Amino acid sequence: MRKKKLKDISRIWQNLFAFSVISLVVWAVPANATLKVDITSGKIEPLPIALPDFFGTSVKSQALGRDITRLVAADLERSGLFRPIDSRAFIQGRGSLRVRPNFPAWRQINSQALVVGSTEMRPNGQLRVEFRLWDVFAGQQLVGLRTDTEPRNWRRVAHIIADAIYKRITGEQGYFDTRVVYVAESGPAKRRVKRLAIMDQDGANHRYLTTGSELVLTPRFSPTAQEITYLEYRAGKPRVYIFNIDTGQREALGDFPGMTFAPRFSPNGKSVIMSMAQNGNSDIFVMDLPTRRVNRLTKHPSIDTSPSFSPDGRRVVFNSDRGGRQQIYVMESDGSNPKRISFGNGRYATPVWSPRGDLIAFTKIAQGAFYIGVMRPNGKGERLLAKGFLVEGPTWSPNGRVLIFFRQPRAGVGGGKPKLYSVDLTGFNERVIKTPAAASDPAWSPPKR
Amino acid sequence: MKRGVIISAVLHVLVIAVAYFGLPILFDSPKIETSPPMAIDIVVPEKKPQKSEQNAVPPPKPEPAPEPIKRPPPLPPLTSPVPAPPPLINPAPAPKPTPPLPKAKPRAKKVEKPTRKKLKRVVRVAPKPKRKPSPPDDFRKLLKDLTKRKKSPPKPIQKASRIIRPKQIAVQSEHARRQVENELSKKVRQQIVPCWNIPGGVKDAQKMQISIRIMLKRDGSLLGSPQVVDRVRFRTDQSFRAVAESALRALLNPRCSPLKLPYGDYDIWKDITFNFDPSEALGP
Repeated sequence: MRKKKLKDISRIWQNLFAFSVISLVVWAVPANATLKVDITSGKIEPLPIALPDFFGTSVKSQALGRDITRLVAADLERSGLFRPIDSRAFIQGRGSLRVRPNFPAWRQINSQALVVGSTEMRPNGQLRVEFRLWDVFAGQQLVGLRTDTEPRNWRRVAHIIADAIYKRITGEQGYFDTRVVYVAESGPAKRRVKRLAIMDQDGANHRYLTTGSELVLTPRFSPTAQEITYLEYRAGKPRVYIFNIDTGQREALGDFPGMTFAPRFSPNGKSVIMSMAQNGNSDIFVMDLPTRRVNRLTKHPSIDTSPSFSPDGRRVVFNSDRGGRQQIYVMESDGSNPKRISFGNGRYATPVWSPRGDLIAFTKIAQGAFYIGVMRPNGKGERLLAKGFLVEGPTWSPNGRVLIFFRQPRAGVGGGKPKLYSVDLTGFNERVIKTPAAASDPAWSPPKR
Repeated sequence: MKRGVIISAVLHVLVIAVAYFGLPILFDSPKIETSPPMAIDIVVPEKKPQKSEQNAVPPPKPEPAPEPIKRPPPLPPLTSPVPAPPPLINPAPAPKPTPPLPKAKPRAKKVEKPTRKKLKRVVRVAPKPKRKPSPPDDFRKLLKDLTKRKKSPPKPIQKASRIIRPKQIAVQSEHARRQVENELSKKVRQQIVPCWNIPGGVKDAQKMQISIRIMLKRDGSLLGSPQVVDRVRFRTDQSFRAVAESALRALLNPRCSPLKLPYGDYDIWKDITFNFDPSEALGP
């Protein structure tokens, strides 16, 4: 009996010992090797970037190199996403920079990116431009490009370089190699002269496209070609025209019964969507350009106008007062299933779908003021970006990041003349765009191919 | 009897096996990192050879022979980021790079101007805690909105840490470890957040969670380079890459590195996986 008890006891102790050793081991194994940290906030600031003047081998190429560098810096700075560092702060000398960047010297002035480039006049008279974009913290090259071109194209080269830098850092297409068409206004208020004008997105290379003898309105660019559609009044009748910027060719889209408004191209450039008013009712139509066949999309007694395609061409956003007040609606591209998406206080107008597809810009009138705003295609996330006595007519950059609109102050303030402004979709970086005269109704071109 | 012996033998073997594999972990505390010593980048010799020619006697000094032969002055284009030189940065003027805002700099210094002379809170004392409240707006929704709507009160970032529930085997040491981890997490977050420059207009911000893993040396500086976990997406998705690179810049920024963390907890913080998520900051 005693033996059995002893055996039991010894077994119990053994089990206990085994269990305790095992559990010690289980506890001692480190739970999870890596410490997890969530970073859910930060800041939004322009990226500090250093752009020392491009090197040149001759006087001429040096001058061009300098001009190109300054233009690249201006483009990047104007986007609001980059902050070029003053060259007086640079530490590394040009001689050694030509060999290789000394990254600690650039880090010390808090430069996070560095652009080093060179220009050279080739024997055949062409200008060769080469540049590299460096990540200063990582000490690695991000982009390197070279191009040969006529020296007089130096502005385009600079815009293309700025596009490449922009794209590499933000992941999105640049918009610096683009143009803006708008309605230039002059003359007294009673006898306003309105002409179509076009300029580079930075205001350079400005020229007029029409004479001003006829009233012109709402120019809109094709997303695929250097063509605009616009409205012109002849003998009191509005007509939709297509105008090729490069060739200067102009074509009427036909006479429509009634008044035609707000024509816009489809994303593939092959049709034009617009609204037509007849007997006090306004509806939305699509015209197929090759065949000139017209399709009616809305059949409602209310005023439906200002249509704009989504970038995939499957849906259309438009303005309607079928709910009693001007609001924004989205429907399928065949006109079916219209749904209201704006629900705020006030009236909504001129909706424009972003080429990126994720936002719709609009004009809003509330409490006596005008606003430019954006919202998601489902109507959520409404944000107002700009305000004024009169602000209207937002148009998107081809990458869907920047809006240009026009703002007209009260008569008396600034002479009541409208001006063009740009603003980033985040609501920051609102800037005035300089034009020779008063400007309204802007439209942004696609990049040149 | 025989049964007893067998059982006893089995148990003994079991115990020995467990002890053999398990006990070394118990007693294995100070792991001394024996990674090859990072050659401190001798940037200086780039300039010196030119100047030294002016001295008549060719001096042997610029090159302490053995080390730099392996790593010649031209910067290695490799993984390890050049460790930032020690004379680091002037804390004061640095963090506010936008010149048009004049109020940024003097704030920390000249706060105590008005008549009440609170001698305790004199200027000299720790300008750092004063600087923290200066950008309060940045940590809320960062996108501008002119509407005066009732927004849901912004979440203060400090509370974002996850409280992990202790395991069912509620062990004292596990709980304590979790607390230490949460504290460390918070400290790391406070140091990295000011350096993360979020790409503000990125599309689909809610799909842009970036996981990055880093290894640290005892002094808080990086060991090797940060690794983006989702490499395929990094290579193929340009927007993802843009956000990931902004996060990498936050980690490599000399202003936020080396991290200042308690020495004693090195074992816990030597390996960190970050989850950078811009969706909260950029709104719906």
